[in-house]
Amino acid sequence: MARQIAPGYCIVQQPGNLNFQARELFRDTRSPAASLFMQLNADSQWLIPGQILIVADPSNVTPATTQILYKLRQVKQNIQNAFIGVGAEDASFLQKHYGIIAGLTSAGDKIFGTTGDVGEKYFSAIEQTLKKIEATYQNQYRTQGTLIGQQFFIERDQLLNQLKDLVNKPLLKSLARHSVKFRPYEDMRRALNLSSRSIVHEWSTTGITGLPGYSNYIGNAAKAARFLKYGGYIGIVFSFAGVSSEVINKCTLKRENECTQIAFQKYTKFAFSTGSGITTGALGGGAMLGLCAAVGITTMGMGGVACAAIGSIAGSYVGSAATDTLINTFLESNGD
Amino acid sequence: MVIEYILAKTGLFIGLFGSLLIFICFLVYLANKKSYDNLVSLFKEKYTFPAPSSFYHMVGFFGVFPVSRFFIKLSKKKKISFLKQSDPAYSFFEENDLKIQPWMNYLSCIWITATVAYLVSAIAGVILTIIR
Repeated sequence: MARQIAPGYCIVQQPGNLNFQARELFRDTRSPAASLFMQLNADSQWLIPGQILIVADPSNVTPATTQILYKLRQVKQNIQNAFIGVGAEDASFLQKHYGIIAGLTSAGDKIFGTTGDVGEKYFSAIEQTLKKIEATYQNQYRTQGTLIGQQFFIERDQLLNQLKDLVNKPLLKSLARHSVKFRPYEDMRRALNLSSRSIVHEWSTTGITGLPGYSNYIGNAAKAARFLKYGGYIGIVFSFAGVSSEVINKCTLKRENECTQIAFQKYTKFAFSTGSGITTGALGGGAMLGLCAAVGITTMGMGGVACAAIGSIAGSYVGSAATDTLINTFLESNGD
Repeated sequence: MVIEYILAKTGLFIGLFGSLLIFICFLVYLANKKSYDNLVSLFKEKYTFPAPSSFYHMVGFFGVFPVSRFFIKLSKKKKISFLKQSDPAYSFFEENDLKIQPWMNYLSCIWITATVAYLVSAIAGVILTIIR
């Protein structure tokens, strides 16, 4: 009996042209499956990490397959559009870490059991936003049959902005355990003689069936990635602006000598807590990795990144908070 | 009390000194950002960073110290946590005919001094709290 392998897709891991991607994926680049791969993806000559490539079995030519391939092409185009203006390095980062945000969609109940009231509200808000995003995608797809539309884009952008605000808070714990990983499509790997390092996924996980899939998550992770890279700098600038505005406010109400004293206290606190936050943040990642390894959480790949990220954020927070208390003690004892 | 006053002044001064050193590190990083980014990209072309550098290499200045330490150890072929001794990444410097950039050593020393300064300041703070 002829095999019936449904189409799938692979996520680009390294930048390169289509020939390079084919060599990465197929053991034999002259096989019929490789030729079909080149034909199906002929519209993508240069690929960056995170984009998808369609992989199909040349012996499966049923009408259902044609329909799935058509939808996969649409999703591929959507993802390609999402990557416009994204550099190869940022794309690589997104591709590696989209699982963090994806994990939150299924994390809700488990996290609620372990965090306090603040954490519960925080994760509940994230979950609600993600559910709204999911519903928006489902609604758009069911009613219009595509993921294109002015109203849809506006609604999606609003929800993603809400999500960005929520993710910008330092409560990103327990993420390593909840990270989503799409199940590799082993049947296809065997049937099409794909290389052992290739990772292919079944077509339905792209998100085209209405459930959020890769194409949805990659957009959310884009927001989180930018936060991780630039959040620290922005946080310091905001903190400095906050201190300056406080000093200006107080100085307009007080005498000159008191103004100097207040400015000294406030800027000393800022310099002290920012510097100690940075140093403890740089130490926290390593410390947390030791802890992760001790309790059996994987320190390889994504697990290691998540573990270090959590340790760094926690270390930085503890360092800054402890310094605040410390500096109050110093200033009180100095009589300042 | 005199001791309290001395401890408070010393703790404050040493802590602020630590902050000044971190600011100097930031300037050193800014001046060498391009060569740092190039080194990180070159490493990533063929190898994968082990944790926690796998995270820190993505966060700019906030990760420059652990990543510099990683490269310093790598250049000396010293054992690195979470990177097996048989890993081909240990030959990265030899393979590309590279030497560790001197600024990485300076930054590393300044950062360590800052960390020690914060530690001393924290100890002064704890003693102060106890004796008050």
